[in-house]
Amino acid sequence: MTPTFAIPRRAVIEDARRRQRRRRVVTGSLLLLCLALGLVLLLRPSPPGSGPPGVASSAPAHRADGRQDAKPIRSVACAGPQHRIAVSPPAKGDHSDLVVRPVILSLTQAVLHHLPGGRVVGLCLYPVPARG
Amino acid sequence: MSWRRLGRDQPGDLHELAAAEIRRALAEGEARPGERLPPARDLAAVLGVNTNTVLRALRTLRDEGLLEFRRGRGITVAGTPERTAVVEKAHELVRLARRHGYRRDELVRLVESID
Repeated sequence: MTPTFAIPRRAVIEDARRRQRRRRVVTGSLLLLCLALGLVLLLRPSPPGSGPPGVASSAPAHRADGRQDAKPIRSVACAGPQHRIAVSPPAKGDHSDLVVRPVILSLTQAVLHHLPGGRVVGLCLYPVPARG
Repeated sequence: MSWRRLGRDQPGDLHELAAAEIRRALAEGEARPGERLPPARDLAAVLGVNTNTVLRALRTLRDEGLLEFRRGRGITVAGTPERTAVVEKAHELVRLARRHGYRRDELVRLVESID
């Protein structure tokens, strides 16, 4: 009996396509994984006092003239797009409607931006009474 | 599988062997006219050669009119399987003639003499 040999079909292009598909799946999965990880890190609620350096601080604030302010305000809620914020708990006196210096406002905005609920904990502010 | 990998002991240049492999695959209809070929990187991995060798083989096939290079669309099959089969046989004929000591012009005359 004559032996027969089965010659395997050499599917070069088919195999290359299979390889390409596998590579795409691996790359896509890695990309999705990185995206999901990034989203989780981005949306994770930050613990109190862990804002950007120099912003969320419990150290007493200093005025421009060098004098130390009486007491840092511990909690601030955004009241609107104007330069006004409502302070909770209210500071002594009639300071429920305050004007924040632009530099502080920008810091406040930055903190409010990344804290859920618009609540800032541990931010040092010294209120400037509203003009007029 | 190792049998598919192009061996250094096989006669001919490596890029010619790679071109022959792809030519044969096209002749067998693995990719139809208009279809895109997989990237050279994957073809190289399957054939066990460098990507540059595959690219040189693909350029050879383009010069033969079997493939078409399009910027941004990759490499597509241009020739029909029939044309590819004829080109493959022509290559085999050239190799056979070389082995038997025929020069190029002699082979051309021989082909022209066939009606």
